[in-house]
Amino acid sequence: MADLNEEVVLKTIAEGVKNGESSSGVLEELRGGMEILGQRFADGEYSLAELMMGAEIFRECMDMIEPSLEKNGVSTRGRVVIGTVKGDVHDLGKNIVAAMLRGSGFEVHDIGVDKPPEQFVEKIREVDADIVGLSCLLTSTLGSMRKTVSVIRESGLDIKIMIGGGVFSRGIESTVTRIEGADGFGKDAVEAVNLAKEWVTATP
Amino acid sequence: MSETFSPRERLQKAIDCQTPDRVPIALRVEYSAALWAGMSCRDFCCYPHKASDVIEAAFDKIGGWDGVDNTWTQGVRFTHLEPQKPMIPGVDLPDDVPMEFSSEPSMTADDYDVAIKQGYYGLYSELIARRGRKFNRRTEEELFLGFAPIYRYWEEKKGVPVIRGGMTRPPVIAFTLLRTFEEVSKDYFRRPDKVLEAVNATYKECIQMGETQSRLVGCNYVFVPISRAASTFMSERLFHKFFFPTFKEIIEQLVKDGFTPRIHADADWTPFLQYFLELPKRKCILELEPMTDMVKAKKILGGHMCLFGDVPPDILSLGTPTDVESYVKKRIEDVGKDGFILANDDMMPHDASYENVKAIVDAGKKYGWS
Repeated sequence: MADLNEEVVLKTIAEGVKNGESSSGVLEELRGGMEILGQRFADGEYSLAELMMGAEIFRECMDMIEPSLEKNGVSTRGRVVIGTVKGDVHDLGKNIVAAMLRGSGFEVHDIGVDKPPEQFVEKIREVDADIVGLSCLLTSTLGSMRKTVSVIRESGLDIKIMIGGGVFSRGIESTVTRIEGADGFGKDAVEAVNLAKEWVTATP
Repeated sequence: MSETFSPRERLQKAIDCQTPDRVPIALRVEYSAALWAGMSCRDFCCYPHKASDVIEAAFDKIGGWDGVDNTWTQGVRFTHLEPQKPMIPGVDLPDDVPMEFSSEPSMTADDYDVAIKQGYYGLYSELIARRGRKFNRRTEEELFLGFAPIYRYWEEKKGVPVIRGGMTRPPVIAFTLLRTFEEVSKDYFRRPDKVLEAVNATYKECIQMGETQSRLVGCNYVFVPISRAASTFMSERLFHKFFFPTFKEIIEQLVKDGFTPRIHADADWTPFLQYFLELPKRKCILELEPMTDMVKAKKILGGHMCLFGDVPPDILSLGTPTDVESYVKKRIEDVGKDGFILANDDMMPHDASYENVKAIVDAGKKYGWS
């Protein structure tokens, strides 16, 4: 998995499914592979391209083992709603984080780009999400990000709010602190996933 | 301090990695200039002459700088030359925000074969035709000849060089924009030979495209965007395989043909900086943003390549003139006055305040003297 050999991984999983191997055991192995991928990214050996390929292999494997996981009552790590805030149509960072979260065992509901606060709230309620991820690239949409956080907080939902995107990755560090009410910030996709994992682990 | 160099001489001295009378200043002013002047973003996007006029108004009011970007061409250029669906202010978007592109992909995996068989122009013609528009060498020529008078105006009447003629986008960078970064990332592993064949089949035409466009407007600066080959997006293995060999040839050819490549490198290039030592010495500009360690860049590339940057967009939108002045002062202290062009990093946000943009120029003229 961590070496991104898609053919070998898919063949091995297919054989495992055919031979009745424990789907939860397979899932743990896949998650272990994703952990190694994340570590190689942190070490500078891998880039976002490798992370995207790893997340894709994970998704294909999940398609194979999901029916068995559901039958055995194995649940996801947590539910995440993710989207780019109103006024911003950029989606690269959001897509990468969504793929990595899926690859780490989260159920991800991507609502797309240019989304008003109400749609985030609606989706969080609909899927009973644990975490919401808000992305924006443009400085001009920081106000929209702030409003989205505020509307989610005012809705009374019990949810962790993660913010990220190009606007926070350069320049003045205080940009992040301009978004009051957010619970955390992911500098890159791996940090975002680690933060999500911490939050769901800490949830009683 | 009195100026002893013209803007062109000042820029050239920096490209030569030497110390001019003061650090040259180059700004990429875009839609913010329209908003300062009360013009709609739609007009800035659709009418190059009007866009040039508001940039000129800002240029005069601020007191001038040494190199202007051709942002007045941007809306028309993108609408005609890019296959992605454009979203026009006042039409598809509110009238006070810049043009955007739909993120819907234009290129499929099968289109690598189009690139292999028909080349770079052929690929773009095909993809643009699918959007119901026409693109070929003739339409490109008409478009750039239409821009040429504005270039001449800036050069001859205003006495300031326009620092972008055409654009040479290396193939793998183009594929990530046309097909999305996510899909091309998977292609590196699923169909590496096909991607590489398409890269090798198209890169020479990429050079021609940048050179032709630059000749048509009479400007010798060629913009070469490479952000999606940064260490953020490519591991060193992928960088070597799909990007660097042909990129190096592109830059060598542009230099050989008398052009100055503006290598535009957003994202984090710190781990790859040593590769720029393999490019022609004192012939290129390397444009960085704060994700790359500019001090390390200077240490590695000082005397070899002129650095350009990097006042970040969030300071221009959210900071104060004092924040801008501090940033510029520190940047000049860190990087030195040789082989450096002071500039804003990447695109200027449309909500950049006039006072903050003016502060870049004021600070450059205060701290940049040799």
